[in-house]
This record gives sequence, C-alpha cells and structure tokens, in this order.
Amino acid sequence: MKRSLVSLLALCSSFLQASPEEYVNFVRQIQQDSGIEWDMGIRSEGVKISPTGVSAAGSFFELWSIHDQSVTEYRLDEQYVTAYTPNASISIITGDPYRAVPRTRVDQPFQVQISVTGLIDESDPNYATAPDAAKWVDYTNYAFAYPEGVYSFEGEKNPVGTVVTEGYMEQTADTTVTFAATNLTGPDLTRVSGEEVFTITAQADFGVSATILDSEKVQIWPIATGEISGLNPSRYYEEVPPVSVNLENLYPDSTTYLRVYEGPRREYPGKTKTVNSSYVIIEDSIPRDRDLTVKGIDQYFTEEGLHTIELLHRTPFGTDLLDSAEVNVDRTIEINGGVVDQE
Amino acid sequence: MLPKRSLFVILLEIRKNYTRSPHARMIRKAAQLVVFFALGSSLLGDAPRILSNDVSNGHKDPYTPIGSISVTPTVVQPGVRPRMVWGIEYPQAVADISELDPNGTISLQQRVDLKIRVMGVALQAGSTQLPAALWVRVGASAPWELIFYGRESDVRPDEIVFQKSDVPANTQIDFSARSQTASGTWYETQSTSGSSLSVIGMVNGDRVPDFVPAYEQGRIESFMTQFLDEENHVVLGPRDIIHTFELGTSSPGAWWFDMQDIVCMTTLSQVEEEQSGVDRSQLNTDFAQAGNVQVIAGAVDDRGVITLGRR
Repeated sequence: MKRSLVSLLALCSSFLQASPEEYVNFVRQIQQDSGIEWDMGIRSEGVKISPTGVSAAGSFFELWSIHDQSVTEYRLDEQYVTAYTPNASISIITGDPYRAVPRTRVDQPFQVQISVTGLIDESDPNYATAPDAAKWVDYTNYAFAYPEGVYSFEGEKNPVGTVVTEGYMEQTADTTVTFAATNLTGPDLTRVSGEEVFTITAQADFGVSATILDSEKVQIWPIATGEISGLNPSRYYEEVPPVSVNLENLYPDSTTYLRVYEGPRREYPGKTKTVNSSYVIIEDSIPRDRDLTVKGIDQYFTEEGLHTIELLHRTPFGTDLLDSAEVNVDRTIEINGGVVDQE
Repeated sequence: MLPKRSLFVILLEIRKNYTRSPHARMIRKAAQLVVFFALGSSLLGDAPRILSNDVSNGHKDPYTPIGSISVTPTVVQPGVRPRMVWGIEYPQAVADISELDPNGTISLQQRVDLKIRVMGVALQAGSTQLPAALWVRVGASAPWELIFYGRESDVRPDEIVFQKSDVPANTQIDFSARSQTASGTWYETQSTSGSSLSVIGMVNGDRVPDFVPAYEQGRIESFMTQFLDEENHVVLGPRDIIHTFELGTSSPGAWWFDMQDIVCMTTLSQVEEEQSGVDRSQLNTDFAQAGNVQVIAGAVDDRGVITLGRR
C-alpha cells in the first residue's frame, strides 16, 4: 500500500493544487477476480468514468485521502459494483443534525437504515444452483471504544472492537434497526465514547473474497457533567460570592449556562433569571471541557430568602440539568448592642 | 532589555508610522512580533488565576477527513466503466479558511457562512452600566451595519446578532465598537480597520496580548474566563474567532486597559451546499428530539428480515 501511495504522491502533483495542499486523494478500483488495483488521482470532488471496466467478478471502488506530511491514510468510503451480487446501502440517523458524520450521545437512540437489493428469492427456479453470494448477505455491528483523550482511530490500522450483533439477510428489503442507546460498554457508561460500525458483507464466491457492500459508523460522545462550587448551602449570604463552574465533556453542539430562581429546587421553577455572563457555547467536532468563574452573580438575587442556581446544558437532544445549588440570602443588617435606661 | 514602557511606545509608533501597503504591513507585523517576544510575560502583577480549561490540541472540524463515493450503475456487465461521483471534506480551522491580521481584520480565503454573537459587555461608571455599540462590515467598501447596542444586562450570548450566508472568498470583515459615557457622549470608535491596539482578534491557541495587564493579574470578566487556559492561551472552537475591545480612554499597558469592554465571537463555517460527503440533512430523520424514537422491544429490525447468528 505504502509503495503505491508514494508513487501516487509523485504522480499526482497536479491534483495537489486542487485540494487543500496537505492532502492527496485517489479512487482505487480493485478487480475482484485478478486483484489488480487501479488508482486514479482526483480532486476533492467531481465526476469521472471509472479507470477501467468492471471485471467479471465485479470491482470494488474505494475513496482515499492521504495526509502527505503525516502519511496518515483515510479510507473514506467504498462501493462494490458487479454483474450479479447484491448491493446494500446503510444510513445512520441520529438526533444531531451535524452534517459531517453521524454522531450522538451515549444515552440517545439512533436508527440504522439498511437497504439490500439483488438477492434472489427462494422461489426462483435457479435458487438451488445460485452462488451463496446471491442468496444472503451478512450484517455485523461492532463497537469500538476510544481510549481516554482520544477522539478517532486516525492512524489505527486495526482497532480492537467488540461484536454487538452478527446476523444475515436472505431477502431484498429495506429495514431499520433502532437502538435505544449505544452498545458501547465501560465501567461508567455515561463517560464512554467511541464508534459503532455497521457493515453489510457479500459472501465469498468463485474465488472472490467476501466483499463489503457498505459500511457506516456513528460517533458516540459521553454525557456532559458540571459542578457549581463556591457556595455553602448552610450559610446566609449578605452578598452572594462568585461561583466557579467546572464543565466536562460538553457535547460538541451545546449551550451551557446558569439560571437563578427564588425558592427551593423544583421541576417547574416559574420565573427564572439567566446569568448572561455564564454562557458557554460549543460548536466543535469533539466534546470539550471548560471552567469559568462567574462574578457579580449577586445582582440576580433581588429578594431575600432561599434561591436556587441551576446549571443547564442544551444539546440537540434537549436540555439537561447538570448541577444545582441552593443559596440563602439575608441582607438584614444586625446591630449588636444594648439599651441603657438612665434617669 | 528595554523598560516595558519604552517597548509600548515603540509598538505604538510602529503602528502609527507605517502605511497600509502590503510591504509596510509585513514589516509592521514583523516588528510587532519582535516587540511582543521582547515583552514576553514579564509584566508584573498578581499570580494568574488557575483555570483548567482544556489546552488547544489543534484539532479541526471535522476531526478527520470525511467523504463519500457513489458508483453507478451498481449492477453492470463485465467491461463496463461505471460513473463515479465523489466528494471529500477536509478538517478545517479558521486558519485554513481565513487570515486574521494583527488589527483583527478577517480576510476570507474561501466562501463561508458566518455568524456573530456578543459574548459580553463590561462597562460601568460606579454601579451604573454603560452601553456599547458594535458594527460589522462585510466587504472593505460595504456599509457598516449596527449589530448590537446595549449594556451588560442586554447581552444574550446564545442569540446570533448577525448572520450571513455565502460570503465570497477575498471578502474583508471588519468590526467597530464604541461606548457611551455616563453623560451620554461617546468615546472614540475603535475599529479593526484602523491601527489601534484597542481591538484584537484571537483564535484557538493564541496567547492574550502582554500589553493588557488585566489578563496577567487575573482581572478577567466572567464571560471571558471560559476562553482562557491557565497559561492565558485562548480556548475556542476550531471555527471561532473572538474580538475583544478596549473602549475607554486608557492606553495599552495601563491598569484600566483590560480589553474586555465588549467581546464578540465569530464562527466561520463551510457553505452548506459545498459540504461534501453524505448530506445528512436530507435523510429522513423525524426525531430531532430523539427521545421520540419508537423502540420495538425484542426485534432486531422493524421488518424482521435480519436473522441473528451466522448462516
């Protein structure tokens, strides 16, 4: 692979100008019967006729991008074209509208839409003699957890995953698999992150190896946590001091802020005041941590008595309460002294 | 080493004396860098407040390249050369799609969608909050547009105060701001189109300027604390730029010169129609609030066509 990539880097200099200069792209057509590979240098987007004709056993098309400084290789997508085997497509639907890649949170449901075409039916008179590849396809679901502080398997050739489901489909159909939450596992499920990969594979046949018809992944991010500190719930404050807010694993598309209301913590607090200097807005590709110190919060406590501060985290999935703190405000000035009656 | 005050004077002179020709701007930029390096972090003050905001790891959005290929038709006779359609989207950060000059002017290198939020205003006379106004100009000869006028309590950081789609490459984006005094008169306007040190644009990983003692001394407004790590480097998303303004009368290096009178955040994103890969917005998703998904207990798939196990 590396040797062909080096030659490709040399041959495709004209394409370097077309894409961001640190990447080289190509489409690889692999003839399934002979194993011969044809590489075609490409721009970042376009339309072209394939490098050569599809072989009798079909051709596998791979879209590659290579970072020319780190020589990190990315196989971005693939498709199989053939004369007789089935075809499949997979789409993953999540509650996050992020366009680049399907992503969701560890506690959120998602759907995998699968479409398989080209399988012959059992009632077909040729069924008995048809190759296995025309009768069924395999379905697999693997889960890959990211190590701590890692956000992709970039550069990892063979990340270790766990099998979630193995199955097969024997008929042409569209179907949807719905998951209530991720299948990743870990000591603390709220903090796991990683990828789930769904693959439809055609059977090996007539000297042709098993072929991936389609494969898609969904990224799974952890649940955010947050903590309000700097307040003593048993103390009565004449002036509410600055509060510190520690935030971890903020969802890549999220808004986090503090709000204040009178009374104890309750589900429907009624009138609330948003602390506008506490907003943390994240538009990113990975979860982020943030710390902030909110000064001048005393101005939001206009009445005496018990108040509640809540730390809210808004994501495409809804708004979550990360933490809350109760604050007693007493602005009464006490004067210690005695009254002396003198005649 | 020169006394700090002399360095500030030199820096100001550099800004005043050079014209705006490209060559002169390069010289000025180089000279500014020399002065900034000379200043180092030698300004005296209280020990900086410790924050544990995550330090930039230089990542981009998307995190890795993404792409898709469609080859049609998918079922062909041997020898047929099918048609390939593909698209690749590369990881990008603001430095890949724009240039930020020392004054804070953004020069776009490619077509983008942009949105601006006001993150905070910190102006007051005694206990009275004072208003500030913020303008943006998208295009060097375009008119200035007022996008915010208000006091600290009027700021709504989750509201986008200005949004523009499909802004072409080579467009210059400038910001101007000014503040009102307690008597209702206005201070001088500070603008990225000028050469004042009273406005600066910063991206993820930038170090806050040394001519602002407030940052070194921990005198940081609440809304700014999330943007700074323990070494006073800016922490932002890969597509974000913040502009911070000093709108009073004080000079760089002065105690009151805190560059936090008004702060806005600009987010640059790739034009939607140019985004490659699967357009997920076209997918049939009916659970924006994902909790509404109906889960069929005990079934692998809704049609029951997937059989568990290996055949």
